[in-house]
Amino acid sequence: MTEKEKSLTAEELTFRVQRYEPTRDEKSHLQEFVIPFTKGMTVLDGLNYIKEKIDNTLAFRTSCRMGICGSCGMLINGLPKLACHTPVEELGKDVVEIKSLPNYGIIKDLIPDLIPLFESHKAIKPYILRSDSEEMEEPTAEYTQSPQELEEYLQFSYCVKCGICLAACPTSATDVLFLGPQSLAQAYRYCADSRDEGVRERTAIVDSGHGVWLCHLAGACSEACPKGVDPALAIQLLKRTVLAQTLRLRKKKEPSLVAPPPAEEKPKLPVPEFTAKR
Amino acid sequence: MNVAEVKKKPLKNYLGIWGWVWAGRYNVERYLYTLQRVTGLGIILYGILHLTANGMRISGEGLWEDTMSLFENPVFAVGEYLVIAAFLIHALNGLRLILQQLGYTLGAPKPPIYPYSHALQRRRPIVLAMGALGAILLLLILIDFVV
Amino acid sequence: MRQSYFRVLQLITGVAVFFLIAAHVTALRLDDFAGVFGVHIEEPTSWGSVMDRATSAGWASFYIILLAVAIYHALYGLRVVLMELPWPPVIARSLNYIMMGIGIAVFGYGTFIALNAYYS
Repeated sequence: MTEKEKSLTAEELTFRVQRYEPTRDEKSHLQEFVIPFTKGMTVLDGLNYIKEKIDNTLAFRTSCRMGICGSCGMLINGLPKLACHTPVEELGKDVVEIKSLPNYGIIKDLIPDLIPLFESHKAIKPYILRSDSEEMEEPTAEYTQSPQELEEYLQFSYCVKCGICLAACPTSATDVLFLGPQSLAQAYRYCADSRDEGVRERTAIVDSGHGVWLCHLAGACSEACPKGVDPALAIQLLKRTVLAQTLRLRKKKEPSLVAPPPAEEKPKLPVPEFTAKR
Repeated sequence: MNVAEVKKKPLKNYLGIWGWVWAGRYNVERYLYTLQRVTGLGIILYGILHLTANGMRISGEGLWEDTMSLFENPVFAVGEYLVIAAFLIHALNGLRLILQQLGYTLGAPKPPIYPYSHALQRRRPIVLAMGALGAILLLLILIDFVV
Repeated sequence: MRQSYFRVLQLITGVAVFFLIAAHVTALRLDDFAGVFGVHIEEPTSWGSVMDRATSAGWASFYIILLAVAIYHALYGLRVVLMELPWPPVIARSLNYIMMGIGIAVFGYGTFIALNAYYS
């Protein structure tokens, strides 16, 4: 019988959960909970069980319980993961150790202090930068973009800002000022966007002492990313963009234009009778 | 402690320097990063020693021959082999890093379809080829050392 | 200054130092490998052999170039490692200058030894 099958038959699970109460504790400690195992349960289900039935003082972030909101990033058996995306069976053990994400502060129990993540995300200007500010203020139509241009950055736009990549990144382990894989990947996501003209501006931010060059391609961020965003690839492509920009090798590319107004009004579909009558 | 104070001072939870070395079971590139750093720092240490020992020539033949006879000890031969090995690892991995850090050999972004794969994982053969080349060279150098 | 200029130099010196050190090690330590390339140096660490090389213009300039390239590559690498540590702000700000100072001092020392032997 393999490890996996063993845990399938286990009836009880031991959850070792990191506890830290800021008003009382100096250090965090692990607390053990024994909970029943149900088939197909995730780590988040276990935590919810503890909160509902055993100890309601346990604090953790969660919202969508389906890997979309990025709230429940935790260190599960030594690797950063989304609790809602991690079935207990997949871990292959009936003892599950759950800690707060490393490389952040801990606010309480399993709640990491994600403010540095959001601050550095804000710092790289994660929005379309254009020179035609009039059009940006009062848009007349959308900017055009071909499917090929979309694919240049689409993968990197799936980021849910859960902060797991910073927990995996060895540079973030010591360097508080490092921008981090998340914001660097997002910097590339906007630089690669054909509608964007902000490469120069973002290069100035990213090409600093604690910026893109402190990435050493350890690749742990891509391995850990629960959404398959591949921040490591984005950062390497960002490095190329930044080098091309500072060495003036970058080909001038005109940003995409405002979509032309349609040549003629398409005939509108007739409103179905039953809707109009209502 | 009131709420404002708590907010100002969350408990520090950084992995620190140990996080450079070990942070869990990650892919091979994560530990090549560690190896690159360790070999680099090791070569710097050796470089300091090498420059100091070679600086002895300024005091003339006597001191030079004394210093060199010190290095006839087999411990130093093993040490020299380790330095060459460190250089080789650092160099081969470094050449891979130069290419990959400029975005070459990594391929284009791929839509994340489950099960997810990432660019480094898809290019694992490069690492394996580098490893094989390094192992062959290290073996040849070992033969050269012993013979 | 933009970090990318330093970085480009790091990549260039990385490739250069690979070939230079490989040549250096092969010629002086790996005699079987050196034989493949038709280089043979008897007793490379004996005083006579060392002085022969130190007084030839080719070897002396090779050593000085190797020293300069290796110092840049090593100190950039060391600086990156040190930069990731939480230093007090005074050191963090002056780290570049400390590294430059160390680099110039070591290069001066090495060049002095090389030139001293060359002109003796």
